Amino acid sequence: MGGSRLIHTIFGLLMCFVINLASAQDVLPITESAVIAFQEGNIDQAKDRIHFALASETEKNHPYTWCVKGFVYKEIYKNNAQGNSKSPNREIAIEAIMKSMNLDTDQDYFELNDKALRFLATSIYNDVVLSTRSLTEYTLEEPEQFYKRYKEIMRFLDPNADFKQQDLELYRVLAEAHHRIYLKDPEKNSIYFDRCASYYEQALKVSPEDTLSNYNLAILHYNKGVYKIKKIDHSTEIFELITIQDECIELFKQSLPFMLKAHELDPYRIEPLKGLRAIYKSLSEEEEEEKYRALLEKYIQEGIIKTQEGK
Amino acid sequence: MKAFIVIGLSMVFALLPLEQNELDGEDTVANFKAAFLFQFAVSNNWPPSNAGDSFVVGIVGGESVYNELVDKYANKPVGSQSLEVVMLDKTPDIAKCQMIYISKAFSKIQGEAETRKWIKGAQNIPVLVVSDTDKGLDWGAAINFKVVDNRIRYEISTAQAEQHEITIGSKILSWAVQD
Repeated sequence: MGGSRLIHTIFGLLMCFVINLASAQDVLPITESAVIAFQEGNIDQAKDRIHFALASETEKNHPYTWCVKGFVYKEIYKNNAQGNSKSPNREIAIEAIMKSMNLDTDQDYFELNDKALRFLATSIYNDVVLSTRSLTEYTLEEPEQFYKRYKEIMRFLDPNADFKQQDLELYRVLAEAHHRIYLKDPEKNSIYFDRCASYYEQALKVSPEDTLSNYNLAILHYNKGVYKIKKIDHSTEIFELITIQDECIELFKQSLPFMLKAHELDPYRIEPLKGLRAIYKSLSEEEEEEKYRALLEKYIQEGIIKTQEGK
Repeated sequence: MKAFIVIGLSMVFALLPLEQNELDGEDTVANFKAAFLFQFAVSNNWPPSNAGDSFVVGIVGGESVYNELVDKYANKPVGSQSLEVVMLDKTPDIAKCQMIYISKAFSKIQGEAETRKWIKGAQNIPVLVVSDTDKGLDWGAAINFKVVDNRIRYEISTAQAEQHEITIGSKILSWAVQD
C-alpha cells in the first residue's frame, strides 16, 4: 500500500514534469491516458492503453511510453505475482524500462527508470537467495539463472559494477545448499559433494582470503573421510580396509591446506585449531597434532580464543 | 522511493546467514586399529585350546580402541566364537584372552619396562600380542602397528606368533609391512 502511494507521488511528479515539457500531452496522448488510468488505480486499463500507445507510430519510440509500460508491469508484478519468481510480468517490466533508458538519450526519465530497475533487480536477487534456500535436486539451476539475470541488469545500470562480495556470498550459499543435499544421503548424493566442493573453490577464486570457505572446504573433505571410516564394520575385508584407508588419507591431505589457511587467516579461532589437531591426528602426524593441541590450550588459558558464538 | 529500495536490499542480506560446517570428532586412528584387530582375530589360525564360547581381546591402556571394538565388533563372530572385549589392568588376566593389544599411549607413558612386562606376561601361552610402539617386535610382540606414509599398517614376526601356537593367516601376511 505504501509503495502504491509512493508510485502515485512519483507519477504525480512525472506528470508535472511532462506537462512542463512542450506539448507533451499533445505528443503522447495515449501514454498520458495510460498514466491517468494508472493513477486512478485501474491497472488493467493502463495496461491496455500503454499497449495501444506502443502500437502508435507517434508514441512507440518515446522513452516515456516505455517507462510507463515498465511501471505498469512492475505494478502488476507487485500486486499479483510478487513471490512468484517465474512471473513474466517482472521480465516485461525490466525489458520496458531498459528500452526506455536506451531511448532516453537526454536522461529525462533516468532517475525513475534507475530506481525501478534497481527494485526489480533486488527482487531477482531475493529470488536467488530464496531459490537457494529451497534448493532441491530438481531446481539446481535456478539460483544461478536468477543471479545471471540480476548481474545483467546491474551491469546495464553500471557497467563497472563490482560483484565480488555477492559472487562470494552466492557461491558460499550454493555450496551450503549442495552440502545439505549431499548429507541427506552421502552414498546416493555423492555428486553433490563434488558440486559443493566446486562452489567453495569458486568462492575461493573470488576471495582466497575467505576464512569460512577455507574452513568449510577443509571440513567437507575431512568429514567425507570420517564418513568412510565410520562405515567400516565386521563385514569389511582387510583389502577393503586398506583401500578405504588410502582414500581417507587422500581426503585428509586435501583438507589440510584449507584448514591451515583458515587458521592463518584467523589464528585465534577455535574451530580451525581443533580442525588441524583432528587432521594431523588422522594423518598420524603426532608432533604436529601436539603442536596445535598445545597452542589451543595456551590460547584457552590466555583467554584469547575465539568461538563461533562470541568474538 | 529511495527508502523502499534500501529496505529491499537490506532484506536480501538478512536472508544470507552462513553456516560453519561441524567437524566430525570421530577418532579415526582408533577406528582403523580396532578394524585391524578384528581382522587379526578372524583371519589368523588359532590353536584348538582356544575353543571357548568367546574370543577375548584384552586391551592394555587404549580406551579409544577399546570403545571402538566394543561399539563395532563386540559379539561379532570369530569362527564359532563371539568377540568379547575387556580392559586389562593386571598381567595374570592375559591368560583369559586370545589376543592382547598394548596401546601406543600405554607404551609412551609407561615406557619400555612396563610394555615388556605385558609382552612377557603372554609368554608360553597361546595369546597373540599386538603392540603399538617402534620396538614392539624387538620386545617380543607378534604384530606391531606402525605408521607408513600417514597410514596405519602393521609388521609381523611369524616366528614370535608361532611361539604362541598361532599361525598368521595369508590375508594378514599379504598386507603386512615388510622391512
